[in-house]
Amino acid sequence: MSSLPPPFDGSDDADERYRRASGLDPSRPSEATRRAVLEHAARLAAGRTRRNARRRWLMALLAPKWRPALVGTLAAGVLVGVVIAPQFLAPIAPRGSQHAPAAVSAQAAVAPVNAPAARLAPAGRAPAPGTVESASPARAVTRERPRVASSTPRALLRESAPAEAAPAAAAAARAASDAATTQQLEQRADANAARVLSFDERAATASTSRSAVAAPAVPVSPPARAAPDVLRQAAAAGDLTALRAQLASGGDIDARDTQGRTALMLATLGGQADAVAVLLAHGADPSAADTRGTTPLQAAVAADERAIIAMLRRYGAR
Amino acid sequence: MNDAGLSDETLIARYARGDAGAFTALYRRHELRIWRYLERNMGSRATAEELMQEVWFAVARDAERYRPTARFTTWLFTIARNRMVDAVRARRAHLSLDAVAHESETVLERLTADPGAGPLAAAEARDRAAALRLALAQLPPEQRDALLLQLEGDLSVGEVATITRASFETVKSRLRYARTRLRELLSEYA
Repeated sequence: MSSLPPPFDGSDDADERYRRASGLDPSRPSEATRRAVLEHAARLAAGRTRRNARRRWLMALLAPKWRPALVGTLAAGVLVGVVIAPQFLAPIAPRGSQHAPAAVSAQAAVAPVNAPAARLAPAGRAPAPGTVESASPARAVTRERPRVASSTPRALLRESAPAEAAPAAAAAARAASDAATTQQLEQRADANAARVLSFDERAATASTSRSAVAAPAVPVSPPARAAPDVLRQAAAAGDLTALRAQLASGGDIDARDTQGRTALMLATLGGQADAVAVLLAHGADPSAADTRGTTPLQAAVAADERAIIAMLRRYGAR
Repeated sequence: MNDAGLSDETLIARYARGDAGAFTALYRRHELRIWRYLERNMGSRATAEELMQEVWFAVARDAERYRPTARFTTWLFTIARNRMVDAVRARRAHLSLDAVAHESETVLERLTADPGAGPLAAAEARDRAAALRLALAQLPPEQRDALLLQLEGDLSVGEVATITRASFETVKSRLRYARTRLRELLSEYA
């Protein structure tokens, strides 16, 4: 048998026979197959239509006639973002280098500090067990009163000028939300800080101030001011809500007043253990001294604020 | 819209832009040709149904990638053949060695292996279509494939060579053998 292919005879009668027979073949794909194919194709077409519409819209947006408007809008956005928006944001100053260890997260730091602080809270300030306060009923009673200013400077203030306290308290009570209240608070804090002179002197005066009449509470409602002032006032007054709000806004936590006192120092002077805890948890410099060189720890020791002393030492205060 | 006068290439381009009606026109135009190519090659209606869906799903999915550098029919039958080859390979991969030999034969091939059946038996039933199937089943797969591509796809020898990845001369030879054999088998229906 020859291995050569048969001669090419073109599409002859073989093709014709095939076509005639093929035309008689009734075999067709099922209707289900046809429907499945066409439905699948229709779904894909619908997706393409949506995609093409988006593409056309984008292309129309990028058309030359709209290009100036688009560029102008983008430029305005950039201008707002770069020039105008920062004016509404509080400046963020660099923190001090003597802060608490960074490994301690704010949340973790607040939890243990707040526990004793809660016991010292004005509403139910029971002295911690085993402390001097618990052994001294008189002192415990003294601790019951609401407070704003530092115990030692406050005691000094009461001792040296007891007549000042009553008018000051009366004025503050009359104008709770008045700006004069804040001014008065500042003046008192200044006077208190001025009395923080030396350990010996403060220790001597602190012992005599235990029985002194406490200064009445001064409700604090900080008016709208620059962020550092509001932060310090909130710290001095123990207004935790305002304090947290200021901290959340990103202001400089270690901003100082004219006497070099930070919010932490003012909170310490005010005996505001809760405020001290919050400030330390947010990274306040525990050793920031004022212009006289007095650190918060020295002020706390002078005032015998043991809870504050413990917190400051925990954060490495000097 | 009437798509009857539009070319295949125009229809597939319109479908690629989201015109589902263009695909329907395209499908109806080529449905039977693809079906016959698949069914007569595979010899199984069920397999042909599966492949039919796969082929047209692939056409719908890849419509955006189609470029009219070749005729649409060439592209379509290339897809169909590739799917068919994949199906045969997949089927063989899941069968034992004994079953491979068995499954490599199509249903019609098994039918024609029966000495009691064949073109003559079909002729006796005066079923020309069945006779055609039986005749095709007796062709070697390469010849049958080339012949069906040319007759159902209206493809040239060169296009068949491209699709089957065979040389021009090889395809030409296969076609000659296939036609000669087919003419013999269908001689009674001349």
